[in-house]
Amino acid sequence: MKKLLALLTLGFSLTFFLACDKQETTYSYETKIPVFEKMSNIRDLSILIEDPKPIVTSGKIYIFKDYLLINEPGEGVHIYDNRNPASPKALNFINIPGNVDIAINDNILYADSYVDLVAINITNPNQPVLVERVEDVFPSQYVYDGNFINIITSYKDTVLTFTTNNHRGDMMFYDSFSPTLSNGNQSGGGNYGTGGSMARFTLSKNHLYTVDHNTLRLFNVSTATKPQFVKDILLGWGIETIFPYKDNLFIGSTSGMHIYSIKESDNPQMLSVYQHLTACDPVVVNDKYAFVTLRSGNFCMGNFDLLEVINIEDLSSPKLEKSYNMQNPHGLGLVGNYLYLCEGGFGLKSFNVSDIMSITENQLEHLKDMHSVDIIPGPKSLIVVGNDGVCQFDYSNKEKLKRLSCIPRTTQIP
Amino acid sequence: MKKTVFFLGVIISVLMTHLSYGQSIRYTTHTEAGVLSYGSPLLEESRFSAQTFQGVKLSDGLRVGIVLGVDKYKSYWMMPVSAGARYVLFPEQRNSVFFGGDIGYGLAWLNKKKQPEQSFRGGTMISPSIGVLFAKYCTVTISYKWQAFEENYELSSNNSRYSLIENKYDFSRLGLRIGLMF
Repeated sequence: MKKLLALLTLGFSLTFFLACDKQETTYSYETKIPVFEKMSNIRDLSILIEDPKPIVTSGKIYIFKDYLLINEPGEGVHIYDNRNPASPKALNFINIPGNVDIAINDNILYADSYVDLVAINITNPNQPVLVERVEDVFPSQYVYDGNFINIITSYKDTVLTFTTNNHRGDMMFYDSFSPTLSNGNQSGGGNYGTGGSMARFTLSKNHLYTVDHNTLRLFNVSTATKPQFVKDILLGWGIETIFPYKDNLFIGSTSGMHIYSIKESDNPQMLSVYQHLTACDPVVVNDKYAFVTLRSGNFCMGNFDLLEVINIEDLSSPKLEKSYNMQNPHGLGLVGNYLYLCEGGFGLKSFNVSDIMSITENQLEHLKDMHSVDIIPGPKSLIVVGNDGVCQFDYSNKEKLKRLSCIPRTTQIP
Repeated sequence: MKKTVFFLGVIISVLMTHLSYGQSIRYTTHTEAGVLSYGSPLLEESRFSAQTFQGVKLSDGLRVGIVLGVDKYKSYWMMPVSAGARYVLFPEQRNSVFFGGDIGYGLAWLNKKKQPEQSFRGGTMISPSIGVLFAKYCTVTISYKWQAFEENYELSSNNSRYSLIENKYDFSRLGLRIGLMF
């Protein structure tokens, strides 16, 4: 019997050393990681002229003389002969790596090329010539940790996996709470930038004004072929659009509208900031009012789809006059008393805004099938960007749009 | 699960072989309840454990059969289904030491999802044991139990990117049970 008890005691003792838990936790998540490239390699690529090619993802649009320029984000600029808006003719494609925004001054095309500003003479659109490059002026989303040598040129989807091991007391049991892994992009790529909020360009009083997600950046272009960096002005987060009107700049951000005086064109002075709900907000203005659209959505945050009319007679104290519910407002264009408003997938709307207190009652047209995100009221045509591509309308009768043409694009706008 | 089927097959084969020699079948059962714990300290992380062994005697001391149980680890429930054997060292005596061994698969279907993206997967279970049979039918058993278990969360964020958390557990426990063996 003693032997039996001894055996039992031995077995019991052994279990003391064996009893424990092991937990191996594997986290897998899809995210975007940056792709780096040497900026010197990009600069070595000469600005190439290419034959016309289809528009894949139309970006910013720009009109200059009888030319229509359409940015292909990250790639360059399509140039169209737009003498006849009913039949625009593709001339060529200027290859500008990392290009998002454009502006033209005296036949000089200013374009961003990743961290650089390039000036291209397009006097002869068939033989564009690079005349100047201002280096390292647009760090924004391309520079990580102050490194201008290797810049971020794109992001690629990747599934990252890591494993942790825990024993006994360190174990985490997820049934006690709800796991909430963020996707990083926020994810997705941790702190490497979130995309969007790309720089915007505008020209006024011999200066090129550009904005990125938090900075107003000035270039003196009094000598068109020699743009010179002047200075940066920090604006705050969420800057999206810039609209010049007379001696002022109206800068739209996700949280409000900044008004800067450019009476001293190389030294903009802030007059006021009109705060609104968090949303994306393009701006157009006339002498009395600013028309601002607030849009909801993942990127834009907020949950508001509004057209706001803001009294700017006193630029130092803008006041909301009236707010109208919209469906999914994007860009907008103002021509006299007529406002054209892009409603994304809900179409294109036009309003008579002579009475700003009853704008929706004075809706003129709603082209529900015309997906639209951006608009330019040009001298010959109203140019609208949407899923159909870049479409032009005859708006000689402001109350009745007549479609003239569409340059198709090969991808859909999300 | 395949392993369970395999071992059950082995047990049935042994039984069939035994029967083919013309011996009469003598059924046996061993039903127990107790706790599983870390063992050191003795009752740390103690959770309920119960099992029943149903089998046949191949000899006076050796019994083989199928074991069905239910065990709790942390907040997870497992239902092990296994092949088992018991060997009573001195079957002719009222008090004896006995040895046991179970091997099979722990089913995880008793666990209820707390989130739609949650899933559970059982795993292999191994449990050697040693015990005392006293008063002819009563048993006290000390066992070691190793149970594999997996719990997964698949998550999607607003923009449809997915993330996955896979938790693989190896539970190792000391088992203390009392029961009856016939």
